[in-house]
Amino acid sequence: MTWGTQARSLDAAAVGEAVATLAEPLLDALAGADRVAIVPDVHYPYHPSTGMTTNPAVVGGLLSVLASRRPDAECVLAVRSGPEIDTRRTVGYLGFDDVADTHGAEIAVLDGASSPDGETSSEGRSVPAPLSDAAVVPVPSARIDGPLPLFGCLALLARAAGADPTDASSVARAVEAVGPAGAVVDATYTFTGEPARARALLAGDDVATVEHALARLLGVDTDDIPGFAAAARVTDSADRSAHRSAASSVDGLDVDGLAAALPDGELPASTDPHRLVRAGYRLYTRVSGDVYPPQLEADG
Amino acid sequence: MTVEPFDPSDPVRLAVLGVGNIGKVHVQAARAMDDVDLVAVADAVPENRAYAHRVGVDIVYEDYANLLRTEPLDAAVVALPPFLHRDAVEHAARRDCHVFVEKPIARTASETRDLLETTTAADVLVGVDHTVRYIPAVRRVREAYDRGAVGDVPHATIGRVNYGSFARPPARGPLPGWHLDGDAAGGGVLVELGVHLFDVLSWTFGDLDVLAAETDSQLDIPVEDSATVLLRATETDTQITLHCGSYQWEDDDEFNLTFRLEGLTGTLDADEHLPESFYGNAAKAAVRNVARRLGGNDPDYFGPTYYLQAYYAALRDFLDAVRAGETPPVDGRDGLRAVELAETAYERAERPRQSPEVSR
Repeated sequence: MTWGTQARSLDAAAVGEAVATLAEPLLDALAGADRVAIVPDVHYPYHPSTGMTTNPAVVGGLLSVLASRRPDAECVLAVRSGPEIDTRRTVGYLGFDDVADTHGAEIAVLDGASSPDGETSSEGRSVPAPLSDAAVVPVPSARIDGPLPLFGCLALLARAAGADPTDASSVARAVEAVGPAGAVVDATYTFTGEPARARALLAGDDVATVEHALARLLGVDTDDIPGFAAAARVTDSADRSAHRSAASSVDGLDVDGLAAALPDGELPASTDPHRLVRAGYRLYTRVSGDVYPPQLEADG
Repeated sequence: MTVEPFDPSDPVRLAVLGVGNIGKVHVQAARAMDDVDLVAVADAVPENRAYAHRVGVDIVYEDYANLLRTEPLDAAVVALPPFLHRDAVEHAARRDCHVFVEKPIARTASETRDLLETTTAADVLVGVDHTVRYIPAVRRVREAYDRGAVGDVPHATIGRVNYGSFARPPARGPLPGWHLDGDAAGGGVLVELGVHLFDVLSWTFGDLDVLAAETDSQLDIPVEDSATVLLRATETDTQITLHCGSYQWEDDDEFNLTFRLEGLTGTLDADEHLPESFYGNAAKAAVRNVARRLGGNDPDYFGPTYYLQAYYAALRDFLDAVRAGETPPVDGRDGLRAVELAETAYERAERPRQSPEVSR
């Protein structure tokens, strides 16, 4: 089952209130967990209002609920950014250091941690230490992506675990190895070609069901999400399966109405000039005697 | 200040210190100049040295001080990070080498004064790469203002917004380190972009008073990524609002520049002189340059890229001044004035840094 809501505004108090409402059923899934690892989307220091990263206020709201309802649980923000920037810098720039400090949570940087595609442990597959023996809750932003149709719960878990989010079997192995306890989707801002202030949140105790709801929100077919079918089987139970098959059941939020209001676009094209543009410009410089702009050099 | 002029038949022996983003543009511009001998370049980053080799620079140093000690030079472009400007200029001055310094000329007014004291004592010329005043649209507004085309100007607006050292999606990297280090760069966007705007305003209106300023950061970064400054031009009584920001996603074909003068009889707006279509302008400039070549003339260098041509023009002006033994048109005093204005804006804007929030 997935629950949804819209915050009355986007100040931290209102977001925290909305998260508290949504997190209630999720808390059951976290019962008994000594450690809770929250995994936000911090792939690059894009401001949360672009919809491209997780809003720290959502994570702050979740930590606040956990502090009051599961005071004995140790909370960790498990983070890994993209290859372009050191994770520590990204996390600091996005304000997660402050959030962690405020709520007494630890930040665990996953860079260099082992991959579930690598060596297996005695229990089966290995996962980065901060994700093992913890109830893991991915908190993706609601955004489309370049090589993927969206970068949701599954891709975020895969990257956190050191797996390739574009490879279906890697995603499935990562989800199986991590065994997430649930998910919260930050759709306070969404990115579907342009940002939109959606003020929405989704949550549930089954990541595949939550991913399904996120796909509906962003207008993405779950068949196009690498590893979705396998991950759904991995996290499946008879009860959840029934809910997932009735995929329209997002309690508390008109997902289809909200989806219709979101912009319908794509990620901007790469700024790396096409090789034909570079070849054409070089020809022009030979003919005209002009010089070749260094900015047209290929990356790398 | 004047120094010994060049024999017209002698090339200017030039080095480029720092072959990063803008240093590369200077390398290409210098290589296109018939009267310049690009002797050598220096850069601490192996990829930048490889670039220099690839475009045909034979002598490439890792250490700029070693280059300056070794190579016979007349002038050097200092395109290093700002924390190295003073040191590089001092090394160059010891070798009687004129310098063309990327903006900001130095990190602080005090550092700039030290730098200028050194160059004055050594009788070397100092140019500063305040490129924005070379952008054709800015020049046209300024020329129209000088002609009195709109009468007196009670209010002016100037702004420049880009994405600093970040990349809009899809992210590509790596993210450079020193740009967000206030100690290394001298500050945030006020010294990265603001000094350009202060320079254009001083060039247009003369002396300026900083009345008020605000700075902010959209992310929890160590420096400001937005600044708004209220100024008054003391000679013309023009009230001016300045905004600079390094928070906005920017495409290669975008150039978010505002320069607008509200005059008594009308408005002068740089926007009217910016190309409507980047690619359309590029195609036209390319055709024009091919025609110029066929007619036996030099091209308008970097013409199709629009804003890069300003870098060529700025370096050309400096080298022409060196050849003539005259003070460059944008000299150390201009650089100092821009840094002083940025410093005053920082003083007016003193406020605690904020963490990023989504609250609207």
